[in-house]
Amino acid sequence: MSVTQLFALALSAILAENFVLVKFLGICPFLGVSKKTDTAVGMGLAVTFVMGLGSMFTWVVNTFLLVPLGLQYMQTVSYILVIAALVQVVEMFLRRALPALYSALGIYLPLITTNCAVLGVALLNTQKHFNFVLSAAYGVLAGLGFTLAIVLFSTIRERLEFSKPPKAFEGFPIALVTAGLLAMAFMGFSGLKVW
Amino acid sequence: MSGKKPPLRDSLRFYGKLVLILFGITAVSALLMALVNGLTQDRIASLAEDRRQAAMSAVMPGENVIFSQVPFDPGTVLDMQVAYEGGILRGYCVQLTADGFGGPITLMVGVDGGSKVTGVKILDHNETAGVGTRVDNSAYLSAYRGRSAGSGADAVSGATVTSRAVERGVDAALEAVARFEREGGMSVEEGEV
Amino acid sequence: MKKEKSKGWLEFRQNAPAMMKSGVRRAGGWLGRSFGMEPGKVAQIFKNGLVLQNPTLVLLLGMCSTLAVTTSLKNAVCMGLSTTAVLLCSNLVISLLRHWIPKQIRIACYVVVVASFVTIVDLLLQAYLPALSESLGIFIPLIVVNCIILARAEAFASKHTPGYAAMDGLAMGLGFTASLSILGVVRELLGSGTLWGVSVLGEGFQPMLLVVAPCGGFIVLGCVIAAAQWARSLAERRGKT
Repeated sequence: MSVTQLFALALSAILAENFVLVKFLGICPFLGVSKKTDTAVGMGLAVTFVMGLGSMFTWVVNTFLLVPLGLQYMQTVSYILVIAALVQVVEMFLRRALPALYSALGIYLPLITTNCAVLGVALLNTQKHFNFVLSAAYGVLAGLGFTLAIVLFSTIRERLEFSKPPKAFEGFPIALVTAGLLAMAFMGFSGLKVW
Repeated sequence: MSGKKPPLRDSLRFYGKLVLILFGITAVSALLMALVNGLTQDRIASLAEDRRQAAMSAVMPGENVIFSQVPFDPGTVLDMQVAYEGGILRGYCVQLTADGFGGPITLMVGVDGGSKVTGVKILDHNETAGVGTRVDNSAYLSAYRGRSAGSGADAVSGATVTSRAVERGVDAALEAVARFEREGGMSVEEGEV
Repeated sequence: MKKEKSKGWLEFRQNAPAMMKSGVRRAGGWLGRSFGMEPGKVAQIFKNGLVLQNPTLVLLLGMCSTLAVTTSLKNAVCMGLSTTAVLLCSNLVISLLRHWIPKQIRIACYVVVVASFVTIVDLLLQAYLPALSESLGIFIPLIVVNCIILARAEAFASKHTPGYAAMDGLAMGLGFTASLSILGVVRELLGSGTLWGVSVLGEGFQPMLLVVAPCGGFIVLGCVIAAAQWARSLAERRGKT
């Protein structure tokens, strides 16, 4: 895979088709963990790690197990089981190696299993017929796009804490409107291509 | 100090039970899914085939046109089929992708025996709603009919990238057909590949 | 010469009617206990699912699907109904199995059950409603990670009888569909001037394309949730006086 192809893929996954702000994948943790920037960074990197590894494992399962046996309809079930197992392993690893991050992420760590972005990237890899290297790369790059979006959003939300929106908008609604404006900004990247 | 570790046998039995239950649930689910898959797969396959036939018929005019696949260079070209009507070669239908504004656009291009376009149909795209999608209308696409390789085409104002992508796709289809005919092509008398 | 029938067979034949009767009675009892429902409790479940704990507007779950498929009313309603189907079936099955699923692997078991129903719905849609399957795209298989389903399985289905669990699944699903429809109506009307594909606002209407774009999704959802929160605070204030 050439550097140009990788760069084009990166531009697409991180900016032009950002997973959170354009493709709507990974919204729940995006809205849930973005109150503080350091948790957001930790969450983003954990999700990137799971997305990269998840892409690799699901590609292997699909290519060597599902396709040869003609079991493509089992993709959803097998992918989600692979991801669940992976998140369990990551959780155990973090509890031993990085206990501070583990306690900061709290309940949101097992919730990476239900993160649409992780399953979404696995399904998109299959849909686009990516090979192993492209799948892994796309998984990591999409995760980086997610991290970018969640970190940007958390910096804005930290400032929002000090503002006074109308009472009905307090909490989630103003966060959603802010996310919408961020998504509008990212619309400027659409069509960004490396020829 | 209480609590000695449970014997290995009990732990194994405990984890064994967990694995067995999970396996049992997965097995029953897999059976159920296999059943539904068996019931639906023929219909899904025939629907996909119908869609393809409809797309090809849309770009290749004729009453009883029969299509059959010919070898092609995989890459941007996804499929190439030769079209016969009553044993006479009508032309070719090429399904290919071209890079548009928001990603690859899938086109179906009909080319007749004289390397002129018979029709263009957009099958799939990711273009900007209301802007790039303006290219996907029959008035604009029918302007491609009768066109041969190399002649320019108008673009839809405000959707230049998408229009150029369609133009590139049509040119690539004409090129693919020309290459096929150079390398032997189909003889008009025979009705088979 | 007639073969001598064994003693066991004769005994069985003698006791069979009584055994069958008691078996049917026990099955009936089980069905009654599992599916017997008080109307009051059912009404409460529906009020919960549709309004008080509406999954999108109050519990704030299932955001991904909500934002992605509400660009048109048709997509919104169909996604809502598909999710309702999966929710109903998975709640029912998980409630039936609730005594056998060990606590340690419950999430994995729930995921397998939900994923199977999602696959079944996906295959059925691909076969019988292919246009819909294409427009909803990968969001059909993504129903499996819709937080609503796992949340209800954990919070309700694993703790109640199958009858109430099924009702809760139906109620939550309909609540989800309702909120998706509200968003779908707003976004399709403002963003394309149509409703269910039928042009409503006439030729002169200049559609607001931003509303069907991703940013519009966020902003419209934010406003609708704000409206819901305002309505709730109004109801609370009126309840207090």
